[in-house]
Amino acid sequence: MSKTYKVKKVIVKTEYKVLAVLLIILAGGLVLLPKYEKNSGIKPETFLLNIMSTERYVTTDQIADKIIKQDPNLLLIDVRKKEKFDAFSLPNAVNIPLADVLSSDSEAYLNQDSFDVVLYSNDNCYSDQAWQLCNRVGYKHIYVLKGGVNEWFNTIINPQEPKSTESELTFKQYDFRKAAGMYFGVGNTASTTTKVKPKKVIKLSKKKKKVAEGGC
Amino acid sequence: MKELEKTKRISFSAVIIILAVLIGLLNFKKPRNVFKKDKDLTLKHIVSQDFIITSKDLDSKSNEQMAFIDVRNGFEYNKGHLKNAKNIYTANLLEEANKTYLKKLEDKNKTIVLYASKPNKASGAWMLLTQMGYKNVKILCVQTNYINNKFSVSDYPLEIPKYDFAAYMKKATSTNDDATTKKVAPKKSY
Repeated sequence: MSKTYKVKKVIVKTEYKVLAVLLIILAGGLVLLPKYEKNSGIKPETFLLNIMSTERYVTTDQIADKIIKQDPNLLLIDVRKKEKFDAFSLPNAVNIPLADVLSSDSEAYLNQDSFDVVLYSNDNCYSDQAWQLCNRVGYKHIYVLKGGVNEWFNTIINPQEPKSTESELTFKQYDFRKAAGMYFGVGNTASTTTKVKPKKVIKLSKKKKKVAEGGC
Repeated sequence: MKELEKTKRISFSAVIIILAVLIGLLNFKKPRNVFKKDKDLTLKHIVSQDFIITSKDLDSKSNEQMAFIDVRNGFEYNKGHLKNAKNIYTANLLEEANKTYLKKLEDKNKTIVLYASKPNKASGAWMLLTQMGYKNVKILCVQTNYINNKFSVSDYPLEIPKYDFAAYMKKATSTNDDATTKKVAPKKSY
């Protein structure tokens, strides 16, 4: 009885040893594994798809409309330098210079779910790059203002009057831009003094009255 | 008896662990494309603006050091392109053949110069390649057009404000008053 027990004990002990050695060898094998290359953020394939898509662009008309309607979900972010931002910026915009896009302070603005963030710069090159960085890190709900502030001035602040042969849609768009421009503080820009047409004299006098009242 | 049961259990679990490790090893798949560079490094490039090549640099540096990549689509490329430029459409950048081509250029210590119809159309490709660890990738800061059967290249400075925004706004709001006074004048004449 005791003999067999001893034999069993020896067997058990050797089995333990074998198992231990086996596990140690396996653990040693881990050292030989190639270095695991891991992507932080999104994969290059997804990134490429996102770059190719133009969904990120919003037009100045859309933004003007949203500002006027006081869309609570809209958050404008200016990625230009601080001096430029101080000199001129779109209404209620926040300044995050391109260099600070990935800093921890700006993460609160960019990495969230409650706002549609619209990035803008003078053109849409730097804002695009800011967008690409944000997209790379995995931030969502981020858009780019197509054409940037230059386009804003071309369309909203100083829209070109369409030719008489152009479609009704263009005229409607022009009217909207004109009205939006007034909303953003443009009275009658220098280029639109031609608006004073002899035909509209009556209308003009009406307008004048209103303005005079406001002026007084 | 108890001891034996214990060993049974242990050997059973050991077998399971070994199986799990084996399955893990067999299923181990290397991702085909990896962003090697830390994202902040790319930001350094952006801030220091060292990724830009203007048409002036084209003349000064020897063209042999540069390998031009046209990232527009094949149709645009066939209409006209820079001399010695190779066409790799942005969407095809991650194809094996193109990756090996770029790798070869890198091994030859060449500067990979990307261009498209406008610099910001090449910036996505630039961002992708730099973040994947390619060195010496630059953007040619030009606007390329196809006018009158000719491929033309013109400088395209980045992010230049078209107006002095602050001054323009000041003027725009102040002309408001001028306009009203102008309007007053015709009424008086009536």
